[in-house]
Amino acid sequence: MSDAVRVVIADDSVLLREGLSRLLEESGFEVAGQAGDAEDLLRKVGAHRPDVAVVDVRMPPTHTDEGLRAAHRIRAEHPETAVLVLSQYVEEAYALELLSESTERTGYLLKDRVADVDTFTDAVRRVAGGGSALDPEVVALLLGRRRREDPLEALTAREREVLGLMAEGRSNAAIAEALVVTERAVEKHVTSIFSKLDLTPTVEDHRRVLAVLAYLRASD
Amino acid sequence: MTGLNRALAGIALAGIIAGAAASALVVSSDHIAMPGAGVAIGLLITWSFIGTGLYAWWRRPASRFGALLAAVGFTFLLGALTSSDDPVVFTIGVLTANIYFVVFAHMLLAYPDGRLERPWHAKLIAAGYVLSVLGPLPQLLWGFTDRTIEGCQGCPESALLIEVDDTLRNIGNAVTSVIGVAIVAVVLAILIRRWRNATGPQRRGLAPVLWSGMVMLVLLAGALGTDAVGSARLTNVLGSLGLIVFASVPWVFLIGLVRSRVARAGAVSELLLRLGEAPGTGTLRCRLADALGDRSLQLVFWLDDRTCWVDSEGHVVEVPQPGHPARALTLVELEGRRVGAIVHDTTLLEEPDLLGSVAAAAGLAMENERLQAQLRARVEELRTSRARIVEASSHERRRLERNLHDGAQQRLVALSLTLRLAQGKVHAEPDRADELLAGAQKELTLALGELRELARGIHPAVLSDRGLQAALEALAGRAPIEVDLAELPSDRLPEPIEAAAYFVVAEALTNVAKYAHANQATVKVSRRNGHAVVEVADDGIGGADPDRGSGLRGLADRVSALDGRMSLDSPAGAGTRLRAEIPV
Repeated sequence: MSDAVRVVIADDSVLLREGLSRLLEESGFEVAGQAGDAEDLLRKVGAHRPDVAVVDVRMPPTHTDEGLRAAHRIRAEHPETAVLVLSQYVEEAYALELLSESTERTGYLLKDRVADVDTFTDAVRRVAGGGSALDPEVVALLLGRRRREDPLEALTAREREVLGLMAEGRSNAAIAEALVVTERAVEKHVTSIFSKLDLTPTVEDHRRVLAVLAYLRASD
Repeated sequence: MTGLNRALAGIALAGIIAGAAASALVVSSDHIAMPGAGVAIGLLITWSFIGTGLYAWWRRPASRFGALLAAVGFTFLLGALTSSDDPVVFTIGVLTANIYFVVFAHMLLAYPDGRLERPWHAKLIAAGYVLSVLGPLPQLLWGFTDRTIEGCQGCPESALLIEVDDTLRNIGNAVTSVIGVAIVAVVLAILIRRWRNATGPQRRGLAPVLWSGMVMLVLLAGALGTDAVGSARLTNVLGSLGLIVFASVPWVFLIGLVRSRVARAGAVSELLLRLGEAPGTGTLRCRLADALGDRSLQLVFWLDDRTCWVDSEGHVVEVPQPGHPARALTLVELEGRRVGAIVHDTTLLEEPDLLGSVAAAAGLAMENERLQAQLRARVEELRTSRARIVEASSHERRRLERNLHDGAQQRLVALSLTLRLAQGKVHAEPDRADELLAGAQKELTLALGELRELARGIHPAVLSDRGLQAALEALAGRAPIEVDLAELPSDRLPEPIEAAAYFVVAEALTNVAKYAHANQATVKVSRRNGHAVVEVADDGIGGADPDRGSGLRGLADRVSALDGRMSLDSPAGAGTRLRAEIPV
């Protein structure tokens, strides 16, 4: 067995499945299997025990939310397998539903995102490593939501940026890199955000995401 | 005994006493040639007017006509004062003896409700009253004419006599006669015009009194005129004829009143029989028109669910408001529920009993016709809304086509070109090719974004997957204003209803953002009495026009396709409230 991250891909479109597979393999992942529907996916996850399952939301037979339901089952039955859900739509309801119990080993990305190879592979690695990945558009929606006496208004522009990146599931190091600042500076921002929003600070990344999401979701 | 009845009885008693007193005066007079005949004729006329006047008053307390009729009787008695042998009383009698004639003209002008139509009619009548008192003055001041002396052997002297002066007296007499004839002519003209403007049922009511009154006026005006030119004989004949017609007026009125009651009571019982024997379609109107004697009668039906009036074809109609000059509305109810109304001539309001019994008799038949009208209204509504739905869907297709064509399709074409360009440069200019591919990537991202938004507009996936609540939450999250989801149903509604509710909220929020200048909107979706009730309210400027754009119209059709109803309440300055109710 190599050290490569092992992936199972589920999508009803063969074209996309093949494309994804090629892209991941070129980026150093090992594609352990491909599935065309939820049942097939569950079978292959059971057989290959991959590090990550990349799952499309809409799959046969009803083309509604089979992928999401399968994702929940994978998390329940194979907790060691991370799940990255790809969606055609920016539906915060799906994303939050997926991430509400635990943000560990879980991701929700827009399908378009796969074209941005770095972002996509970064997200796959992140969830495989126990973290989480939430699509920036979903985060933008959550942050942009109109609130009565919006507490987010108390944040500086930079703090909002940091909050957004935290919600996406990035670590302090990744945030520092993205914003081209020191990790120390990010830590300061994070502390400030948590105190302004009245959240309990926590070091573990995925718990932090959970807290931030719960906050963003609850405060409308 | 009610207050009215007591008052009427008092007036009747006063009439009897006054009649008796006048008779006593006449009989005891020294200068009345045939007191017996005078008393008989006087009492007949007086009591006829007072009696029929009181009856009319009792029948129609709201009308002052009865009072005027009785007043004619009372003022007619004043003439008896001329029988007095005392010069002062005699003079007062002469001065007041003609007042009854003006009261009579007043009564005619005020027929049938007892009120004068226009202010200038009141001025005309007032002038008549003044003239009736001034008229005899020339004779009282400057001596009686020969004709008066001839007809009044042994009368006392005038208490007002200055000196006998035939010239002054004749000039005065001529002047008052001419003015008198002129006033009578104007009154006649008003009456004739009223007759010509009257509708069928109005004419039937006006005829007896108006015609006999007009004949009486003509005869007495003739008497006045001939008196002025000095034709004594003609004057006497016309005067006597006028008196006969005058005496007949109360009886003519009474006969008319009784006959119409009898005829209409018959018509109502006939109506009841006919309504009982055949379930009518369309003929109900004719039968009611017969019964009420109003050819212009119309039936309107009440639609509870749309709270509007429709005709038998189901078309929405306006009904006359209370106070309308010509048309009135009588509601028809069945078991306490409003089923429709009879739109009829206002003159029928004079007979509330008749209207009441016809309306009561018509209840069941009206309910049948109402159901049919309701069905027709519904079919009509369906037809127009179906046409609109077809139109809306083709409009929607055109819009989608345009969006696809202008958006994603253009981008994909450009993308294809860029890729072709890049392909050509891969080997020769790899850096340029790289640049082109990066641009293509960007373009593709935009195309995907546009397609995604387009698909969401057609039908948001989350709605069918996760239901209304999640879809509305997503909608609220995307709205450019603060949206408070105050109430949402806990369980899922049938899919078409959820979709309609979703699009109602979506369109409403779009409108709020576009036009309302609002800070906040509140969305409520609840289940009440077997209905899903969707409400979207904002705190904006209000004054929204329900016909603005095709958006609201399309929504109303979408809602009505599910048997629902939509209403918009948008007072200027007080926010807008859109409400849709859809049966579940």
